Amino acid sequence: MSAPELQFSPGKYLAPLVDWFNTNLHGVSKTISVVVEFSLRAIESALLALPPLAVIAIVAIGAALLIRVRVAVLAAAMLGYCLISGLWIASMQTIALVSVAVLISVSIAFPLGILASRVKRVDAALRPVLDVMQTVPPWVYLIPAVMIFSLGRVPAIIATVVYGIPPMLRLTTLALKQVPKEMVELGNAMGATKRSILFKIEIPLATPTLLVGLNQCILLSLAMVVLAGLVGAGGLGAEVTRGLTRMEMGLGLRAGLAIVAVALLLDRVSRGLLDRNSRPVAGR
Amino acid sequence: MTTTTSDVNDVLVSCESVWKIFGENSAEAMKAVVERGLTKKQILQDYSCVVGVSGVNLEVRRGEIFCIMGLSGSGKSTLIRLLNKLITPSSGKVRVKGRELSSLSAAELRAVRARQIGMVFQSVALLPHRTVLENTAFGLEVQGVPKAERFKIAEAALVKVGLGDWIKRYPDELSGGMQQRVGLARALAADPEIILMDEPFSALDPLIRRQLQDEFRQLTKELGKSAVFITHDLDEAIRLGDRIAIMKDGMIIQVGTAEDIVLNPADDYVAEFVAGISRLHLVKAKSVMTPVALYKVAHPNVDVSRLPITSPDADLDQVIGLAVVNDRDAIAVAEEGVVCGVITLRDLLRGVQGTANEYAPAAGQPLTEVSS
Amino acid sequence: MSIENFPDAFDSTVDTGLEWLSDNGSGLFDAINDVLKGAYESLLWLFNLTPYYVVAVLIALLGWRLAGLRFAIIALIGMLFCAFIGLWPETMGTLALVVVATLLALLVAIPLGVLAGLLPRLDRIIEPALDLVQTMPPYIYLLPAIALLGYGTGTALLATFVVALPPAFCLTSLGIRMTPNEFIELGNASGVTGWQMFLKIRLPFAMPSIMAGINQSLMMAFGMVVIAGIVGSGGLGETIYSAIRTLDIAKSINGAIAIVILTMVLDRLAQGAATAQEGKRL
Repeated sequence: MSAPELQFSPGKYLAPLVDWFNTNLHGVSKTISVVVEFSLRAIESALLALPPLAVIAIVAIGAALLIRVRVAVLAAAMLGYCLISGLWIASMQTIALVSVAVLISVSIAFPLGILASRVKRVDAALRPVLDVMQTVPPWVYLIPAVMIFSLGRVPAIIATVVYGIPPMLRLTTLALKQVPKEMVELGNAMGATKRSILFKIEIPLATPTLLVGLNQCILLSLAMVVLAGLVGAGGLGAEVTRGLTRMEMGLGLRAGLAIVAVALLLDRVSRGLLDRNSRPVAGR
Repeated sequence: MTTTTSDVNDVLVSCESVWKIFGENSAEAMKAVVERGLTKKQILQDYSCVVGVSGVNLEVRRGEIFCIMGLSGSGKSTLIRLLNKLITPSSGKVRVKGRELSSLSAAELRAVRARQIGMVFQSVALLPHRTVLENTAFGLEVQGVPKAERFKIAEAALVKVGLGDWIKRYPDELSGGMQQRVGLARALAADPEIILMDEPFSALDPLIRRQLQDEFRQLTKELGKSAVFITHDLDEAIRLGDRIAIMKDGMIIQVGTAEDIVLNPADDYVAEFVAGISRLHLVKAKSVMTPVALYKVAHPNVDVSRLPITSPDADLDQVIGLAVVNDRDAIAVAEEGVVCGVITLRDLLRGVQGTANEYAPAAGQPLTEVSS
Repeated sequence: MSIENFPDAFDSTVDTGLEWLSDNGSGLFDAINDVLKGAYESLLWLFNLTPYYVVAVLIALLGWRLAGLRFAIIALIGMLFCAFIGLWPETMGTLALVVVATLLALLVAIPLGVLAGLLPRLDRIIEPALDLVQTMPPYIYLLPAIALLGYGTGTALLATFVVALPPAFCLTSLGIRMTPNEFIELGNASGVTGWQMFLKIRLPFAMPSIMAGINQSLMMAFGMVVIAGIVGSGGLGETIYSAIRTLDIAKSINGAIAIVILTMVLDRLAQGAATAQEGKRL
């Protein structure tokens, strides 16, 4: 009664396109898959090779030295929970997924962000695109990824990378734009090359905002990785999905709490690095 | 420039030993001051508290413009905010029309602020989402005056400040000077007896500032208001103020007319301040004249009644003009037809230098009395 | 209980706990479920009552008012497109979910945010909690919801409600707190009562922030509603979920298109409302 009789399905028209893409550009997607799988496996094996307690110890000590004891204790507690809830492997898988995705996101977003901060036209062109990308719900990114790479971890990474680029890019551009012009002028006046100005003046000054971008990128990537459990990405997302679909509340809750733990861990650690980089604030 | 004599007996605002100390330990610091009498530096060292206002006594009379002048950090912004209790004093009494502010209930204080004391801010603080008319009517709106009536009053106030054509505009369409006029109109619309002006013209450029100063003074006198005007600009204080108080480090160093301060600076600080001010318009005939009896003794041959006459309140510039036009070197000073003193060339020159005649009557003394 | 047994012990505790809850609290949860479902279904009924082109035109008119003619035309085309690709009922379902959940969230978040803006102590308690809620991946909020309310739209709405709370709360609180000092002084010097200070000074200055919060809440809700397809919420979320599971490329493309269209329309409408609010102050 409320839908028109005349209907058409763009999906039906586009589906053959996707098939064509899959058959002809198979090489491209295959290469990407291989690279991604390789990096994932590398990190995963690194994380899983050591006994869990060793990993916890390393992370805690690192946090204590680089950030603060409080963060180290938190990190240890969070990882400890992942261990005793029987979800160590899944947690490490999720962390591996997030790490690879964030690494790729940042390596794309960072240079682009620098470019956008320097070239107004690039910035203006990117802005509406980024707006759209950040508004669209994360689910939508999984669809094309799954269409090309089928179910599994690779579409998860691809979708997460794409999802994580906008915040990092935006904040990189903002961070560099906010560097006081006098600093750059100083560099020029001293006869420094553009490159050394970038690395020695602009980036250090922009670091606080950059780290905010990194923090956001990490958390958004985690959200996407967890969601991708629905498409066979494994990790804690898959556990939550299992709990949800099979109504195994215990498992679901355990996995959910593990996700909370990982989120807190990643958030506090990345924020801790941020605080470390900004000037000490009186009365902390 | 004519001044309406202010009623010495009608004090509208007064401060009695008012102190304000800022900081977490301000209460203890205040106690220490009362018991042991510490200096500002000592309080900073011992209690980590900053003394904003330090033992201030002052009175603002009906119909007078009272200027408080000081550099930044002198405490003048704090002091003016103590007068309507935007800041609460650490000790001492602030009275408005005889009532002590700290004894008022919240509702009574609000009524005082709404009806008896108006305030004009340096940043003007016009609400950006309201028209000029609505902004001007804000004080009346707060009092609950119905819309038609308050808009009528507000419009009249805006016409008085010369902005009758701008009532439907928004603040961001107005220049800085115009915005400040709206601020003034807003304060006047509520018809308070006292207006507090917090460096209202400091942010404006010099020509506009001059214009607004004159308009403000004229308007205030015409409406019979009292005003407390704080500024860091001595010229402004002299232009506007019936009486001026000089503030430094939270204390009032000297209070007096512009003439008093220029002729009799209380200390080196004030003296340095006024060093650059021209005396021509400040020093009055009555301050440089030789009493007539003394003059007659020194110049028995001169017929005082044939000398050009000026009034006791004429300034040096006018006396010099008179002397030049008449080509005389002595000018008589007469009040109500009776000659009370004579200004010689020497008196004039000393006056320009800023020195009063040693025999001139002190401020407040009747002019015909010979001081010896 | 040794470390190895923790998972099992945990699971059985959870199961027992849930049993207890469903025995004792079923009344409450059923009531919540009914309220949520009722709101959703009434709205959906309203949407479905009107023919699709009428709804599309209404949305376009709203868009015209808030965001200009060009957007109105795009919105109209977009909505009609959703109808023509055969996903109109699902689009309406998703829309109903988003509207109900967001409205409920705003009803709680904004007054709470106002209170928190005025009382810093309250803010210090609530804000970190909601900050935590925002940090977590939204997906996990389906868990407690489904445990308490089972499958269906009630669950989707509850989870979405939770996710939509933080942005509106935080931005409302911030807006109220961030009134420029000179205007607070102006208010005091003019002798305003507490109410007057709030209504005439704080609130107008807080409006941009509040509108931004509404916008963010709306978009967070939308994202969550789509995810909630997995718990049988109906709407486009469920379409996408089943399409992915069965690897039905055509259906997933259609669903994606509809979602993107709805995203753009909702976002621009919310932003338009914010600028229209702003425009009132020129």
